Amino acid sequence: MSIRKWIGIFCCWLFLVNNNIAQERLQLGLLPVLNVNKKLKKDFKLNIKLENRQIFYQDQEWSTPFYDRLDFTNILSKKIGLTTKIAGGYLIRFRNQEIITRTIQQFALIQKFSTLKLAHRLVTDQTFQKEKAVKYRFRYRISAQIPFNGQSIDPQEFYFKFNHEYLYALQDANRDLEIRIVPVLGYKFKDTNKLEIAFDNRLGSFIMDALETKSWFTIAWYIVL
Amino acid sequence: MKQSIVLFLFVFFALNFVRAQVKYEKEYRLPAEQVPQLALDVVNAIDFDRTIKWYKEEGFDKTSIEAKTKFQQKKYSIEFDNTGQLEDVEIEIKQQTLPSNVQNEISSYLKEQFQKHKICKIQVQYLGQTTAIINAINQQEFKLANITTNYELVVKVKQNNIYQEMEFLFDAKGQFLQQAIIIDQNTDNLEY
Repeated sequence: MSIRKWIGIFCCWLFLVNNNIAQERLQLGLLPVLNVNKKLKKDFKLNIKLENRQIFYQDQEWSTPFYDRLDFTNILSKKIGLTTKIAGGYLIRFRNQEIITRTIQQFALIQKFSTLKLAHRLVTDQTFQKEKAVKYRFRYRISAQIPFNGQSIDPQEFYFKFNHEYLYALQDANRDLEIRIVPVLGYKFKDTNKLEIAFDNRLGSFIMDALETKSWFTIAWYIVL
Repeated sequence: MKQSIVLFLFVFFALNFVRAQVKYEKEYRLPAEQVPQLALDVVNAIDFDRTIKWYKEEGFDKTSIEAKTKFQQKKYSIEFDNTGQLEDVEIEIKQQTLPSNVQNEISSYLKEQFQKHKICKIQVQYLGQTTAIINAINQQEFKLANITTNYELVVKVKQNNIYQEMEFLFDAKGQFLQQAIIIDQNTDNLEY
């Protein structure tokens, strides 16, 4: 795909976002992600993720992108079946002068069809922050992935992925539901090296507050060592 | 912002380097105009009534062409070499349609070899002279002396506490012929 088409897609995204700009609770930004994986013995695998969030629109004002947070995640997974994996780990978030930690438990099921791959992911996590009650979240995500050409995603080929996720959060007496819709354009350099560009749209505060919209332009690099 | 620019630049330079270094196997759709005439003639001689999808597989040492279609509610895959010579025909079947003696043979072989197994896909494979294969498909009669029948299975197995996907080939009586490990495609981007 030419760079012009990419610029076109980015402009369309900005245009769609602009139509929602009247919303008071809208945040836009960049989200570069580095996702490193290492295969270990006996079907174990280690995942290390570095995610940096930069905001360029909030409180109804545009600005030059400024640093919001940096997340460092470390997850160990184990294949427990022919198509299933369990995983557990932690996240450390560096935000302003504060450090937030989170423990994570995950179950994933991958289904393969002739051209389509479907992934179901169930996650529970617990977030710990100073002077705040523990936040519990329950997440379910379904992802579908198809190649642009042929029946399988071969090296040096583009693919399309779509993520749809529900997050239910509990903190003290507060309840919240967030829905994420993420169309992704991916390119596979080789099986151990993929690049994905996405518009990560998050609709939050469904239950107890005014609707909140967050939209991130994401670039994620997945590598296997 | 500076951190992001540095990260983006690093990613693009690194990926361009990787791209220049490696050659890969590739499978892609092939327009009918680019299919060798020999292969087109074979497919046109069969009474297929649905669209034929053509694919080309470029491997390290072999290039093949494959025609895929559905015929009488079964998935057909017809494989040719690069010049259009017919190699084999594979028809996807359900496990319960396998002859019971073949089922038993295959099942006991897999039970003996692996801690656990799950059959994901079965294809009956026919090999023989091109005209014999064409006639067999048109008449739906494959039990002929000049046609060799094999069964190709994709099976998920557990061996030495490791899970993997494998491809097996059994003969018409369910006797083991060969096996290969299917290299598991990385799904990290679907899990995290």
